[in-house]
Amino acid sequence: MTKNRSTSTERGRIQISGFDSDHVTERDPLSGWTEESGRATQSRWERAWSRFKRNRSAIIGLAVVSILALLAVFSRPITVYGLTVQPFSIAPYDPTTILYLSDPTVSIYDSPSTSHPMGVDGSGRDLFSRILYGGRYSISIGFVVVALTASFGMVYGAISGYYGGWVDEIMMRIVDTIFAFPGLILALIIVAILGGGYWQLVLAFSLFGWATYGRLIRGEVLSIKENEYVLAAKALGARDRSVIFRHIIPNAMPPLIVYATLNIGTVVIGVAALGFLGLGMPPGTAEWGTMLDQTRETLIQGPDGSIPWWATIYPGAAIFIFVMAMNMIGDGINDALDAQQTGVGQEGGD
Amino acid sequence: MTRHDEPILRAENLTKYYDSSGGVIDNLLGNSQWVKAVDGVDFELREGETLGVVGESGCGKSTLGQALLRLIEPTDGSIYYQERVDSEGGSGQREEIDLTEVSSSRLRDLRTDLQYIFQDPFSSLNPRLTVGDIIGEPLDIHGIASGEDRDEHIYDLLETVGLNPSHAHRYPHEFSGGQRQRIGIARALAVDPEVIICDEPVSALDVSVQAQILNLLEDLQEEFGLSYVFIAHDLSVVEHISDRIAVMYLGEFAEVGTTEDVFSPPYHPYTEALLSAIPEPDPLWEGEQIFLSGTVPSPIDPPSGCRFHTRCPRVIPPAEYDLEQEVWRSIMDLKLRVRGVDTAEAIAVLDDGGNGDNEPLTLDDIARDNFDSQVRAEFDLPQTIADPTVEQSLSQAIDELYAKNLGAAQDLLEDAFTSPCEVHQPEQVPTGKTHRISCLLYDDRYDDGQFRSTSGGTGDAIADD
Ligand code: SF4
Repeated sequence: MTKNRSTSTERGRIQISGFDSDHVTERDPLSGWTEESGRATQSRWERAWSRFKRNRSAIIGLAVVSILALLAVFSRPITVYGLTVQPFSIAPYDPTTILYLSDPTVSIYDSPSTSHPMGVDGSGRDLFSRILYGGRYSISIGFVVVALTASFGMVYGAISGYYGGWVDEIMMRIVDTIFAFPGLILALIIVAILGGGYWQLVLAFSLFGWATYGRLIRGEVLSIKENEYVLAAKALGARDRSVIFRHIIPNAMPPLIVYATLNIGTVVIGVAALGFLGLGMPPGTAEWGTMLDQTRETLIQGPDGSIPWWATIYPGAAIFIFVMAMNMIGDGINDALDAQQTGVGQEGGD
Repeated sequence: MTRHDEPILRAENLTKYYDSSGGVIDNLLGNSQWVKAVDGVDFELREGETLGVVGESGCGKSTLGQALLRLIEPTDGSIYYQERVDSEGGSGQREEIDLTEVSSSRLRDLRTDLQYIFQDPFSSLNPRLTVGDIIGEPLDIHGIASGEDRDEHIYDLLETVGLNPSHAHRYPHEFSGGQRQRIGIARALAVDPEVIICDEPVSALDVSVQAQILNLLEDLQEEFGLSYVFIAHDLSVVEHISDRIAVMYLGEFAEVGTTEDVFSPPYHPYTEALLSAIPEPDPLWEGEQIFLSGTVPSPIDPPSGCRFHTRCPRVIPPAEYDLEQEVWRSIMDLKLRVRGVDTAEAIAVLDDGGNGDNEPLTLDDIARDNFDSQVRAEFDLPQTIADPTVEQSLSQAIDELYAKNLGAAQDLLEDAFTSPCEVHQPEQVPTGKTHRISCLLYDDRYDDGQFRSTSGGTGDAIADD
């Protein structure tokens, strides 16, 4: 019977023979590593990067995007307030120069040759120069839009998920409303109202594009805030703002980054699609989609019954290669961060 | 260390109900269901002592711990903390603060006095911060130290909890569970607290590591004069480190007393069962484990009267019957089962003597007598109960069950067999200077099967819900 329990209820240190702490320190190191083993501490991002580096297709994608971006930057000199900040000029011609005006040997739709490696377009401009230069519009719009939408969506979703309740309910109904319309249609409406142009396009894609980020981050935050370290931060007296920015958002970053990378490609395609519909940049601009639009009629039949394939293939290929490379990077990041996610949390045994 | 008469942390009628319904729309429609996680707990923690809070999982002990620090907002009740105020001429002056009343910025300051150690050493450390930053966070928040001073502080804290200062630049995933728990302790110590609530700090750890962590906590208590609330699901863990123990069942304290009181008679029936489950190292130990019938009831709709009556081995029989305790418990079990099922078939596992076909049997397949004996076998009831009134009511109820009149059977059972434990809510009865038990067995108002309402009316303890 329990009445016969003979344990003492005196307080004191627990003595378990064979386990008392002196023995343990003498016998066994508490963990697998020692100071001498010297394995440098790797942060999570360092580990993710080393995993990313081993992913060949992701590295190819990264190389392609970097090359396209560098070519766009160095295609023509950049001057800021009359000061040349970037003097290099890889593209042989100015993208808007109509060549046959100065050089009578050039005519419209000249096929690719050594002097015009991608041929000449319907207005007598050098396609190679236009393709290089066009990256400035497509790529930069992609990055700017994603930077804007991702940051806003991140804060929006974090607030919604963190506070929950009424706040969450209202904020998510707004997101639902945005989701009721296809994104490209919304962008189209805005461009139709505001007219074409660089910042109009940025606005068109940013104004509603954050909704996906908002929903994504909210979901992440909902699961992250269940972690005890969030409660621990509150127990230490941290303010909501610092809990969100120090504990919640950094842990919600991996899916955000993956989605953002893939989203850059989507935005570039969207910009090109509007350009192709004649709603993007002003006609004549060396933007990949707009270039496609201007040579649209040649898809069926060009002048003299021949089809100038180079006028559509090269801008199309530029879009394809960039988006493809972005997706390869996105997949690489996904793998690098995901593998890590599953490895953490279950490590260590005791 | 001087002990003050006033408890350093005290809670009155602390209550936390959770809304278990699905969100705002449900709330609007009034569909909320309240989970009574902590239901009117009175609580005292004296300076320098360790109070063990023990209970099965789901009994609300973690909620209690978090509500005490207002990590979750209590639904009702007050929490008083004696804050040390520095007056000239010496320390030791304390001033009482109601934690439930203070503003959130004041509460943030008070976090330097009241700290929490978490159960899960894996999820309680942010995987993206270095150990140094984890321990440094409270230093940053409260502006305790910065720059080199901060590093010094962090190294000191790591050494205090038995880690190497060079660990500061590593990430939590590089440590074992025991080491992570040490990091969590260092983080709580960083603000130089007075009270630490330890929420099952060792239950996720190996037994050998458990002892190390418990010893560390004891050493720290001595060194820094800390007061602990130590939450555990097992009496054996708190046995050696607690000065006092509170046993919790379904959001209420069943028994509170010094460790000595709780570990020796008189016992609360629930504590008795918990104690019987602790294995003894003594080979001659002839302990007999008390098995509790049933599972922990849902805190959404806790049992009336004494919340333990659905499982209590010593549940009190009505005064008019002369019954053995086990038989009475079995009758209660039968009654509770009838209350919970939808069809009479579900009362017992029916068996027609082994015809071999696997068809589930219905009541029509077996005879009345057969059914009777199977029901009795299921609930360990004797074929005939000695007390004739009891026997009569019981067989009538079984008849009704056999006739598939579930409702009638239930009414019969409820009429004939109602324990005072179901009707009266026990109050905390002092059974010694330091010992209080919430059980009608020890209640003076309840004697020899007669319930006497004490004058003043507070004793009309009909179920409160
Ligand atoms: S009041 Fe009744 S049911 Fe509750 S613990 Fe005491 S004997 Fe058991």
